Amino acid sequence: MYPYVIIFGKEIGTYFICTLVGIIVCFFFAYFLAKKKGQLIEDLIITVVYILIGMFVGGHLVYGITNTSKIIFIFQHISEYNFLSFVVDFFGVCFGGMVFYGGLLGGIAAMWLVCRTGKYIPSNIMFDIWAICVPLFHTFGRIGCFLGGCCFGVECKVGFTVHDNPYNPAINDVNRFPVQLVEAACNLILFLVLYMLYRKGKFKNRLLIVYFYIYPVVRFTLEFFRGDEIRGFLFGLSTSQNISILLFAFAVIFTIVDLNKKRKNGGEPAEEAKPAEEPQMV
Amino acid sequence: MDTTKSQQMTGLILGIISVALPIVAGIIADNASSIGVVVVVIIMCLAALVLGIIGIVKSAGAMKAAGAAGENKVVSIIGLIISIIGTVYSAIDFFAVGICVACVLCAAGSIASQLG
Repeated sequence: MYPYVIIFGKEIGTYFICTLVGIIVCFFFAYFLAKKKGQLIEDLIITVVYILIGMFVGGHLVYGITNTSKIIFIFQHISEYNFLSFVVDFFGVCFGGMVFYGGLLGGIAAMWLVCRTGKYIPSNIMFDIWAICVPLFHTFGRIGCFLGGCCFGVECKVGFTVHDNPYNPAINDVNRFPVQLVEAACNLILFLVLYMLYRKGKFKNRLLIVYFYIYPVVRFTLEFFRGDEIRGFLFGLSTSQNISILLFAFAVIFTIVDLNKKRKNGGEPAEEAKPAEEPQMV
Repeated sequence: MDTTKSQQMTGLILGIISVALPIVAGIIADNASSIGVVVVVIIMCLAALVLGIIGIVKSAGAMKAAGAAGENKVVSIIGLIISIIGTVYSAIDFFAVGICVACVLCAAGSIASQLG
């Protein structure tokens, strides 16, 4: 499609542009939601910065996990490497890419750590906002994938044929199923569903669990339509499918524990929804 | 006396450095003749990216503190905007223009192997 555009003489990847637009749109949407809860934009900015760092680190780490065999190979043949070739292969090849689930988990970990400090936005507010913004951001990301030519679908009679993509030569001259656009559409629908639930006050403080119920199912299914096979395979399933199963299982276990706590509390919510804390002026 | 002035100035200075570094790196990259210079350019872009991120956090923190103290927030707002611009600009240079660590090291590795 359009793997890059030239702006002011610089070749800029469309994936990067879509991601950037996604971050900006999600930030303003998050601000719109946080403002209604009486939160400060400064707190949101700091939280978002840490979340982005967490996403970056997590995305690369999980990409490294998908390349475990390559990492093992490198360490088995470490004597054949010099410093430069080791850095190229280890950091460039094994950890050079990013995986969505890694970014998601890294972002959640970072957000949890930031919220634990108690200085910024409370976790009960931030987790719900995060659950709504993730599918919105992912929609832009998948459009970026489609334009950039990565994460492509299987060979198929319906779909698109790309020519002369310099970044992903594997996609060229083959008619492929536009799995990226299907996932973008699913994410957009998921975003709308979660936002409607948020507006109606349903699943308060549990929207992320709702997300963990729906998205893994979507992702697990769509993985069968993926044509790129560089994502690592475990037990006959891709890494993303394995993570999907784990996330879905986590959501089920969380719900069971939550319901048990609710019963013990005599029908009251397991964890009282804390009111939005007033921003502390220090 | 403004109690948050130094905090606001720190954010602003970090933001300015994060904008200036990739510009200087770009000028150096245009005249780069060796792998060593390219590595310096990469380090400059990476430093700009890190400083930009710190600038955003510092400026936002200063903005909050200034708001709480009832002081003028203009410097921290300018610092925040400049830091965001610097971060995005250095990220474009670092990731999108093709001078990411992996790409350059790959290129450097292939050059080194060609040279024997």
